[in-house]
Amino acid sequence: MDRIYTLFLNILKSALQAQTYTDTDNITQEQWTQIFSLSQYHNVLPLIYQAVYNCPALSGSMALRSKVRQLVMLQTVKTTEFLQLYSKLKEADCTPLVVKGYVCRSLYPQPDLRLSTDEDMLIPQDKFEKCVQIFKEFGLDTETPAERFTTEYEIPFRKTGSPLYIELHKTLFPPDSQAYGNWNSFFTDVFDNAVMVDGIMTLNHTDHLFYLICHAFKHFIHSGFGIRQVCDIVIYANAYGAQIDWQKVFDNCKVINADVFAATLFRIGEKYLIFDKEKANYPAGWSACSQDETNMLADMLSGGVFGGSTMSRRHSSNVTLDAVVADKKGKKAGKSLKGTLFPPAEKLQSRYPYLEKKPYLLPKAWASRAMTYAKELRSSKGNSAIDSLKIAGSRVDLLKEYKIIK
Amino acid sequence: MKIKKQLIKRDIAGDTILVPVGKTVYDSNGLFVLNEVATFIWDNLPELDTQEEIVAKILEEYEVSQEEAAKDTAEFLGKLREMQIID
Repeated sequence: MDRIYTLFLNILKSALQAQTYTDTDNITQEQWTQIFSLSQYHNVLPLIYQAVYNCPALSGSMALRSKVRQLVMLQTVKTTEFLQLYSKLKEADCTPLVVKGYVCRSLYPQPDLRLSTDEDMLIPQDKFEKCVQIFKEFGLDTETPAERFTTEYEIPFRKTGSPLYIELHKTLFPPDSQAYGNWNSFFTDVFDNAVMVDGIMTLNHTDHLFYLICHAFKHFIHSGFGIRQVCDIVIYANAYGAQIDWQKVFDNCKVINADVFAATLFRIGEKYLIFDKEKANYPAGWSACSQDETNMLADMLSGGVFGGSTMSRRHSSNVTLDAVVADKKGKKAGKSLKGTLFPPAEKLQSRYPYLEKKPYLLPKAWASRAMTYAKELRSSKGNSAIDSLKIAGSRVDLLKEYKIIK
Repeated sequence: MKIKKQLIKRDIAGDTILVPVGKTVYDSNGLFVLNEVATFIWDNLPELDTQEEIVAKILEEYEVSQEEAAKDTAEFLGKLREMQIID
C-alpha cells in the first residue's frame, strides 16, 4: 500500500483511541502535506491533527493549527444549535429520529473532532408539517418550494447566520431510486422500535448499524465512500455490539447483495482501524465471506469522503448505478455511458420538471445536460469524460469483485 | 459565579478554548484560549462565589504561593469581566 495511505491509517487508528501517534521521525514535509490533504478529502483533519500536533515537524504549522481550531469550533456551534433545535422539537411532541452524524459522533473520544456537514432527522409523515413549522420558528428555512414537500423524500434546511444544516427525511432512501429505493422496506417499523441514546431518540442499534452499512453501500454504488464512514461503523459496532442482532443485519445485507461488501468493510476496520470482533460480538461466519480488501481500500482512500474527490469520479456514478439497476433486473451490467448520456425522462424530471407534463421534450433535456457537462469539463480540473469512463469501468469491476452485481 | 455568556470549553490540539455558542456567537470577538490555571478556575467558577474562594481552591490543587494564586485569579477574572462573561 502507498506509504501515505499507511501513515494516514496508522495516525487515524491512534486518533480513534485518543492516542498520540509517535512514529513520526521519518515523515518528510512533503508527506505531511499529502497526509493532511488526504485528511481533508476524507473530512477527518481534526482527528488526524489531534493525534500528531505535538510532532516537532509540525511546530511551525500555525495555519494548519488555526484551521483545525476553526473546524472544531464550528462543529461545536453546530452541535449546540442542533441540540437546541432537538429540544424544541421534543417540547412540541414532534420528536424525530436522529440518524448518523450526532449519534456516531457522540461515540468518538472527542466528539467535536468528528465533523459533520449536516445532521439527519427522520420524521413520520403525519408530523412532517408540524416539524417544518418548528424548524421555521427556530430560524431554519429551505430553498425547496413548498409544493415539492409532498414529492421530495428529504428536504434540506439551513439557518441564516448559522452553520446548522439539517436534512429532514420522510424516508431514509429516495423511494423512486431503482438501485436502492426498496431499502426503505427494512426500516418501516423504526419508530416503534426506536431507542433513546443520551437523550436523543434514534434507531435501535440493529437498525442503525444496518442503516450505516446501507448508507456506505449506497455511496459505494455511486462513486465511493470514505474512511470516516468505516470509522463510524466500527466505533458503533464496538460500542453496541452486544445489543445488535447480527444475524438480522447479515440477512438484510444478503438481500441487497451487501454481505460481502460489509464483511470486507469490517475486515478493513479490524486490520487498519479499531474494530474489535470480540467486543462487537461479530459472528465468525461473516468474516468468512469477506473478500480481499485491497481494491476496496484503494478505491475508498482515493475517492474522498463520499467518493467525490474529482468530477470525473462523480460522473462515473451514473454508470455504476445503471450497472446495479441492470443487475437487479437480471440484465448484464455494462460499462458504457450510453444510459448515462441519454437517460429516460423519469430520471431527469427532478432536474427538468417540464418533462413530467411534456416527455416529448426529452431530446431538449439531453442537449441541455450535454451543454452543462461540457461547461463543467471546460471549467473544472479533474473532470474528463475519458476519465469518467475509465473510473466507471474499474468501479463496475469492483461491484463484481464484491459480489454486488454478477 | 454566574457565567453570562454561552461558552463551551473544548480541548483542541493542546489548547483549551472557550467556544462561543448560541447568541454569544454574534457578540463575541476574539478567541478565548485558557492556560492550565485559567482552565481550572473556569471549571470551578459555577460553584464558587468570590475571588477568595477561587484562590483557596487553587491553593488546594496547586503548589503555588498565595500571592501567585491571587494574582492569576485577579488577572483571569479581570479578563472575564472585560469580556462581560461574568459580572
